[in-house]
Amino acid sequence: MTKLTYERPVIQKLNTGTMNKFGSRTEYTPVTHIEGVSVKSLMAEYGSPLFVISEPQIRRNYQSAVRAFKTRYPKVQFAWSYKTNYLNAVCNVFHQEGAWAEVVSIFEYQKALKNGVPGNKIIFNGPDKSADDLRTAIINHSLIHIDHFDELYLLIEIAQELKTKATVAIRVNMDTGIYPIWDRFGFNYENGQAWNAINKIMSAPELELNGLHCHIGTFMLSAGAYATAAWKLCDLAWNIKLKWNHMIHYLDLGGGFASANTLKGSYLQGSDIIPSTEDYADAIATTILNFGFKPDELPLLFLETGRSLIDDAGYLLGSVLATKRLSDGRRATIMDFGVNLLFTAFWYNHKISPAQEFSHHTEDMVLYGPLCMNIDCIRESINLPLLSKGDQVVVHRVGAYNMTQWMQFIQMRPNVVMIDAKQNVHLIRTKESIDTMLRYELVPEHLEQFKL
Amino acid sequence: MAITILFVTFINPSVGIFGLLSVLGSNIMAYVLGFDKKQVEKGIYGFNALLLGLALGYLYAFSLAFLLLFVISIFAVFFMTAALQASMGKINLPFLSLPFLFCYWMIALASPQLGALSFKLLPNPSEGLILFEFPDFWKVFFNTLSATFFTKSVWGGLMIAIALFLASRIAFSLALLAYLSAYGAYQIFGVSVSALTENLVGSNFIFFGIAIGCFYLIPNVYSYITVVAFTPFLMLLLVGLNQALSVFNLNGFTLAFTLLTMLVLYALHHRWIPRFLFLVQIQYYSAETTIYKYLSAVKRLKFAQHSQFALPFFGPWEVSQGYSGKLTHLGDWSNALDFVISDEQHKTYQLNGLRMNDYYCYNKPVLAPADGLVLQIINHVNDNEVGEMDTKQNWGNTIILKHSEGLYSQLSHLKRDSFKVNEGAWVSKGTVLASCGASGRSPEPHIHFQLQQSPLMGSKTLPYPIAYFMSQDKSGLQFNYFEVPKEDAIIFNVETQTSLKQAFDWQPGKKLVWFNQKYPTQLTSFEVFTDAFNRTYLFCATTGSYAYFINDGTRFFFTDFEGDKNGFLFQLYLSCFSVLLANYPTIKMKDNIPQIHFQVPVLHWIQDVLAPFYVFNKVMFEGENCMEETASVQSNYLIKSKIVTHFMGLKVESRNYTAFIGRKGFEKLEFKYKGIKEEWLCVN
Repeated sequence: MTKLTYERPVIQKLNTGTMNKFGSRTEYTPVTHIEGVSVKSLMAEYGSPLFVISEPQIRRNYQSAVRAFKTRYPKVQFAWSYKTNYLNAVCNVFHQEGAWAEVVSIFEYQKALKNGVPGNKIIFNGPDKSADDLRTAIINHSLIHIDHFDELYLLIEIAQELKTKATVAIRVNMDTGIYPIWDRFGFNYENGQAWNAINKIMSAPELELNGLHCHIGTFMLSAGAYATAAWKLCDLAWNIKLKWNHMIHYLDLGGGFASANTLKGSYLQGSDIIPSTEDYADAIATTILNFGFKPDELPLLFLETGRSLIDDAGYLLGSVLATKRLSDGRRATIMDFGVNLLFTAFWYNHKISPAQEFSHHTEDMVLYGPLCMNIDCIRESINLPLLSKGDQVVVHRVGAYNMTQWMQFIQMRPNVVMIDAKQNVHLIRTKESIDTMLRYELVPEHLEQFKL
Repeated sequence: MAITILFVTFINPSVGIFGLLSVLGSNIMAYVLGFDKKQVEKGIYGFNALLLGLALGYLYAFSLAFLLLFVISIFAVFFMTAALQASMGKINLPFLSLPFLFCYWMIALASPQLGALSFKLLPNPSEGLILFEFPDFWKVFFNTLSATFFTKSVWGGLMIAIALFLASRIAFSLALLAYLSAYGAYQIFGVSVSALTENLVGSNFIFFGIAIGCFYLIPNVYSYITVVAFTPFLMLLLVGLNQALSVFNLNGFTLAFTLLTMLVLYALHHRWIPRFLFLVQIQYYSAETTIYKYLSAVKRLKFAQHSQFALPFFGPWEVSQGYSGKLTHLGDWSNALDFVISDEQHKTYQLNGLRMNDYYCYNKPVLAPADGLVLQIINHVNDNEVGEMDTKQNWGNTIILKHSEGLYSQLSHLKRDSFKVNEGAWVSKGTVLASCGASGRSPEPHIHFQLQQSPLMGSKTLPYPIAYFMSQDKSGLQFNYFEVPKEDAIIFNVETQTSLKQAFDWQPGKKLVWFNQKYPTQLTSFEVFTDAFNRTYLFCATTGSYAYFINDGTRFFFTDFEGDKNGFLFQLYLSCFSVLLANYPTIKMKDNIPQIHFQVPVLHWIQDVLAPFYVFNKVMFEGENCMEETASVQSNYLIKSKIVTHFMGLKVESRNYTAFIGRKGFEKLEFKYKGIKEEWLCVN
């Protein structure tokens, strides 16, 4: 018989009255294993904190998203949104499954090329493309999505200089009933800016308009907005066909599909209110199919969804550094990971599970990170078992954006591992060390020496 | 062959001269009077005139009266030919040597009264130099052959035999077979075999052998048997007819052959289903060409008459119940397919599967499998709860499409009120009809798909293949062509690529202009036409070559080539022999190219003789498509193909082709073999 763990005593206010629908006690499920690998062993080997990515979960997500679209629409192609998570191992799982690459900077572009993605299977989005970047993209026959008129004019100049024809698409922003409108990217549909850009491209001999792109927002809680977006893109495509006798090759509906995380301020749990991939697919496919294109001229449909494909495949494992009581009596728990690693803690109430068994007693607490900085708060209020120093927790659905937006502030970034389908653990990014940081620093000669 | 015959007929100069004059006269007449030039070139109008000219030159001495008679008879035989061709062509029968016979009899019946005409003294058969005494069997054979052209000479016959062999091994072997049978029959019936060399008697057998064995019928073992089996009959007919005609002092010549050939062909034309003996549909005037092209067509055009059905859904689905399934596809309803969507764990639902929405296929679009008329829509049955069945309204919500007379499709268990089309509408393949549901006898959502011969809902099912579909199994992606999907298979429609489709969209009237990169000023142009058999083809006026092709929207393939094999059209024909108009780099299109295009000199004679029975040589085509690395958004493709010639299992020759397809269609074709390396560009 193993020794029972000591749990400190806790005083809880007794709530009298009727039981609520959840009963009188809190149930939580300790998460001791991820994809069959024990959390303890992972942390023992790779340290704490630790990011864990499940390869089988990525594949399941991808396959089910592809199934949702391909069984509704004849021509579908996914492109992996690099900014969501551009660890090479993650990208390559998507590429193995057949996804192209969607990048928003030359850094991501180069990453995709180095991963072995052919230039003509990279979608180049974003407002920041320099003349050199565009030159590279034209030469590689990448799919260039123009963001603004300055880029359009620059492209014409470069195409003239290269004496070649650049195949391009434009990003369109529009009112889909979701506010605020993301009108800072691309050309607006309602005020005619997009139509203006289209006409400019169609009359420029250096450019060939290949597609239309939109990305109406992020974490979209309404599938209907995509139906509106798809309709507006179809409308532009139809008008291009009428005016220029030119059939657009593809429509890119971007991404923004929600994951099952719970947004801050949301009354209900995320998984109860988000539309499923099937709902998004139905809204988009039905709109395009019913728009009136002939079966032969239906445009290819690109999707760049990132978050909903990777979020629940990522976990963050961490340990309790200390517990303390705040001045107002609340319990505070200090973890060894904070907003430096969990950037998404700014907008999600992340689900956090203990990684070992506890009794059924719980208490409300604040979860702080290790940074010496007041805003480093992971959860303002969370009900968890009675954690003590050294206890381990698992943060769920952290696959999207955290491993690209993480900060090197005070702390260094930890190891990232991937668990494959055969439950083998692979280190896919080693933790940073002091050398990592010092490698890029230079100290002027007169500052090298000092005496204290 | 022609030169040999000309030479042999000139053994007796007057036979030769009048033979030649008659052919010329007849053909000039046909040209001047405006008959079909192609028919003239094929010798339709010259053949009977030749026989008559030869006969007249053989029988009558030269005089003014003879000259007049000759001219008149050429007129007569020409008009007789034209008239018989028109009337007998309607019932698909050849007129053979009937015009010659009628004209000859007319003259023969009249000539005793015409004093100015005199018969020639029949020259003694000159044996020429007797260097070598042939055995009787061969002597009679050669004499028979030369007698066909009103010359009696063993050496002449030998030359004709050699020429016949060089022209066609199959025809030669049949001539020999027919002669052998006749020789045997004459021996058995106790008739002197020397009779074979007189008055074209032996020619009847040889003509019959070639005509039935390989000219009007596809040469195969049954056509050979027919030749042997009919020989005694032919002999009786021959002897009997000559007996009857002798009353009028006439000779039957090839009458027996003509009548018997017509009899056999006329009978064969009126079968319900052709079996064993197959009539030649397109006459190439060469048994070798016929057999090789026939063998290729039988294989490649097997499904040319089938309607092309696609799968009635988007994306990959699983066949949950196939033909003769264990659950409900029984008895008269065996030949139906049920489809569901399954995930990687072969589950058809997510979560716990207690609600319709958990099922992957629920509410997914159901498509028209082929063009057709919406005949009936049943739309009043509610979806069942999961696990329940409505056996009273077995088929649930159903749509019935009419594709052609006697070919209907039924799609059942659809979702109520999901129909996107109305009764009476014409829908094209791939149109969204309704959504998948679970109405009727359907415990969980699925599509039931069946083809039937009657428009009634739930009729007896008709087994019918799906034209093209892809299947995914453990060994990877497979291409399926006119097959019935198997139970448990994961299948989906072929996703065709617009730019590939457009590149091969060769409608009649379209012109393709090419030039060799080395000689940019020499343009070669091909124009698209359609012929009387409704075959579409590219025609190259420079080389007079034809390349026939079919583009069914999913696959482009050439079906035949005639003309100059050194021309560029032949290269194009080989390079795109079979092209899938889709982008599946792992899928290889494999096909057999007709032997006739790749013959190994001299050695191929062995294969030719055996071709009606067994083909051991092979010309393999293997092609694949891939997206060009430097192309933008799936618009540029490379079609890489390889042609390998095998002779008795040994690799003889290999050719490599790469076709470049761009935004505007065909751009370039490169090929490499035997030190030839050329690059041709297409002017769009």
